Amino acid sequence: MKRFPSALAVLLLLFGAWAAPAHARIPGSPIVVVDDQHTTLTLQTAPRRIIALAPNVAEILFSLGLGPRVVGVSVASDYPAAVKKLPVVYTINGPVLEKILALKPDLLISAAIVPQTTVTKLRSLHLKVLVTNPSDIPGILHDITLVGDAAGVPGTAAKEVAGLQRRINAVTTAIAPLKSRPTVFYELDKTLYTVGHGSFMDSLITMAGGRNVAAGVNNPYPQLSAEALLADNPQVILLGDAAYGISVASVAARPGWSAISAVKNHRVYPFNDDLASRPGPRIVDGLEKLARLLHPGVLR
Amino acid sequence: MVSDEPRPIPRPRSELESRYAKPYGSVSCPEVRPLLEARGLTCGFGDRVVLHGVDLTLVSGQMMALIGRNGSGKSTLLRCLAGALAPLAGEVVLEGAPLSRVERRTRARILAVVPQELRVPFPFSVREVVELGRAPYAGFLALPSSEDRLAVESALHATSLIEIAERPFQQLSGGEHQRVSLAMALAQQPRILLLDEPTTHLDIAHQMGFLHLVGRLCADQGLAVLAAIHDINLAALYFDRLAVLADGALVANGAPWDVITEQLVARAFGARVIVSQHPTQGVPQVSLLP
Amino acid sequence: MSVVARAAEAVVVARHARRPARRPSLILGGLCLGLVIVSLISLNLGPEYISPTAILGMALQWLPLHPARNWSDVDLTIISLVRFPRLLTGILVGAALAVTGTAFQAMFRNPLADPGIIGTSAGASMGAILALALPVQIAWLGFSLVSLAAFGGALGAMFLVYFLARVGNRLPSTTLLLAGFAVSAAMNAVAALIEALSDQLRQMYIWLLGNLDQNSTQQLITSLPFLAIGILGLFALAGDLNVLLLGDEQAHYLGMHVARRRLLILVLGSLLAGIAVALAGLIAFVGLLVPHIARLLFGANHRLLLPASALLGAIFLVVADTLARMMLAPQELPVGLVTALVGAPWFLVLLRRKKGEYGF
Repeated sequence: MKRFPSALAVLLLLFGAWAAPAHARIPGSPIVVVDDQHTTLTLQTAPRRIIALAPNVAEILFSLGLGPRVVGVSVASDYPAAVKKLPVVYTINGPVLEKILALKPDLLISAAIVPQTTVTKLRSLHLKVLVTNPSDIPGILHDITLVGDAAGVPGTAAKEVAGLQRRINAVTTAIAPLKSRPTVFYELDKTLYTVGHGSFMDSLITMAGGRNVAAGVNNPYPQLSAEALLADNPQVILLGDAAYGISVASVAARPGWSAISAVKNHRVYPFNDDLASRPGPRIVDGLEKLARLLHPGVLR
Repeated sequence: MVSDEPRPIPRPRSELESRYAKPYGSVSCPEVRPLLEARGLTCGFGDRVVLHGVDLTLVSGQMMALIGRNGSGKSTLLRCLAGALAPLAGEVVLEGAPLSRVERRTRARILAVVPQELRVPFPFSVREVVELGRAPYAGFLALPSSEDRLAVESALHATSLIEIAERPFQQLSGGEHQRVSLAMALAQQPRILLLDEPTTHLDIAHQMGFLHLVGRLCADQGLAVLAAIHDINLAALYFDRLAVLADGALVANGAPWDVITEQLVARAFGARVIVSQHPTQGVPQVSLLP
Repeated sequence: MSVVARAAEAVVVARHARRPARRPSLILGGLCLGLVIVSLISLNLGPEYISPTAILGMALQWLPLHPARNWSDVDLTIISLVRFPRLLTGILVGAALAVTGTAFQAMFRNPLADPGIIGTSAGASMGAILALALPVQIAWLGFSLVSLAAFGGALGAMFLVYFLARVGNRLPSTTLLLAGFAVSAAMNAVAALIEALSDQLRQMYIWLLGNLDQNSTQQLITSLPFLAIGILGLFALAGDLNVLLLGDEQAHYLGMHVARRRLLILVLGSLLAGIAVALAGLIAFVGLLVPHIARLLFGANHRLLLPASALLGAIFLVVADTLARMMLAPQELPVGLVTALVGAPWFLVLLRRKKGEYGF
């Protein structure tokens, strides 16, 4: 008979855990998440010291209000402005292991650009590494949820993701009835590297009501030839390399380019590549900006 | 195969011969066991036969010269005798045992070869080069023993290299290089010494000095010496027996006066010469007839 | 001269024999000391400051009488899991590459020979790049797929070269060189093709330049017996390497079975080169330059040259790695870059001073 109350308590606890809303978390219990590599991570308590090994991870963390918990970033991180004051522990040549260890992080979050050997090495130092590797826009939203869960703020993440989804839906519904879909060339660099099937920007172009001239290419970052481009004659050109000194005027001055529809109709626009390539919340900013450039006046 | 030509008038033994020709160096002496024999040796490369049916015997204390024009097979015969080239027919017998059955290291302790030119591409000192001659005696870890050190020392002394033993090999002259080659061969403590045209790159003084040295060592240590020599006169001066190669065979084998005749030189070398006696040494010398 | 008299003369001669100018034990002892000093300095340098006394304390803590603990857990982790494995990798890989380079230079009588000359580097590159291009992650005994593939590629190249170069039961050095060149070219081409089709270029580039921090102490201990077999085996062949310098024919006259020895040196050298590449990627110049530097400093006799090369190679790589870490801190340069930058000028200076002795 003495055992009955404790058994009942256990049953109630189990019932409570099962019946609780998916994103509520019983404080004190360990956090268990499965990352994009299908590795299960267990954290005994919510991580208070987090290292972002890629710029997009830093953006995700800050968008979830976790900025104060970030103790180290990578060298390419530049948004929001606050990250520039944080110590750089991941350089072009890889992680600075000693600095990472000295910061005593509870969790490291990596992205696709971090090589697997680095992740293995970090794990061998008994560090917990969460690997994010989204392959499409829904994947990005999933990863924001994943990061929120891992950090112990599932509710905040759910709200953030819901907001982003609403904005995406607003764009797609506004674009859906439109008949014209201008052809778009997105220039990654002046040797005509562009975005193909499998890259985020390719999806964004389609979602924003455009047609990527390289949509049929299976390589996410193919290189187009000048003749192919002239033959495609895109109606809009976006300069993803605007940050590297490529200006609208310089493009118009390229030999033979004055014949391209986009140049003739002055529809060559600089574009912040960070909004198109970093798998984080700003991808939706990129979507909205793109929609405004391709179909001015359609979005409120 | 002694030549069929009329024998020349016998002359008194020269001082050289008295000094070098030892009674036990003669083939006709039955107590002497031949150290190295070629029996019906046919050697060549693949399908190209260079020499056939060569019979040769080397005995202790005897200096034999191998002469013949370029391409007559001197080097090939030496390589065959040393075991570097497998014979196409016939066999080489080393101290009574077929050479092919003799273990390599054992062979290297009995038979040493002095090459035409020793190339040492890295900065070794003279002593270090001579120490290489002890390779056939090296144990597993190859740490030098006292016998090794002794053998190297006596080789350096015998070739008068002890003064320059620590100098880098590359800084020596051609004559000194040859002496180092000889010292390395002597460090093997061989009973048979084969030399492949050792005097080709030397000037006259060094040629004589070197052959004199070899002769002295042959007498002192009872070595059997076979040297390929391109200069007939040098061969006659310093060697007890001459073996002549021509037309792919051994055409003469005997003492200098028995072998060096105008007819033989014409046949073997295609050169017209006059054979005369050396003014002081009593050996035959050829004078060129242009 | 009678036998007795000759023997007596030999004894007198030996007593007055001149001692060699350099004493091997002093040189090797000095190099060992140099390695210890360089290792201690390397352990003390890094982006995080850890006091030398703390490091010494960590090293001595296994002794019964040890100093009190004055370091944090993080310090211990950094030293034991970051700096020490890196140092050990540097020592082992540096020694392995230098010894192999020395042996191959002797075996081929070629001053431009290095551990990769028989195709091991190209084979390793091809294996590693293939592994890096595949999205597969497997590990065995703690070694990643990349390491295993690199090692396998190196050995595969060696077998291919051996079978291509064998002529009857002989192994002529010229055909070995040519076969090595051909196999290297083919495998490098395959590697380049994979690189062109892959998007993992950055990883491949980093691997190709070599780095010493991809191993755990466990992996290093696993590799140790094989490295020992290779290095000690080549040490034992020092006398034969000396003889091989004279050429195949002369080596034969000195009683050596040239083809068999060559094969043994080939196998041991490839084993060492393969393990080195599996542990640290491609580190150029160590196997090529260190033997030359050692030869210019200590002479060409392999009895002293091989162990001296091993120690010098270890010192060289540890110094290069320390510079790679500290020159542009906190950024780290690939160690292969630094070995070239450091080694080449040093070699030029030495060569200028001693070129008279080096008659190629």
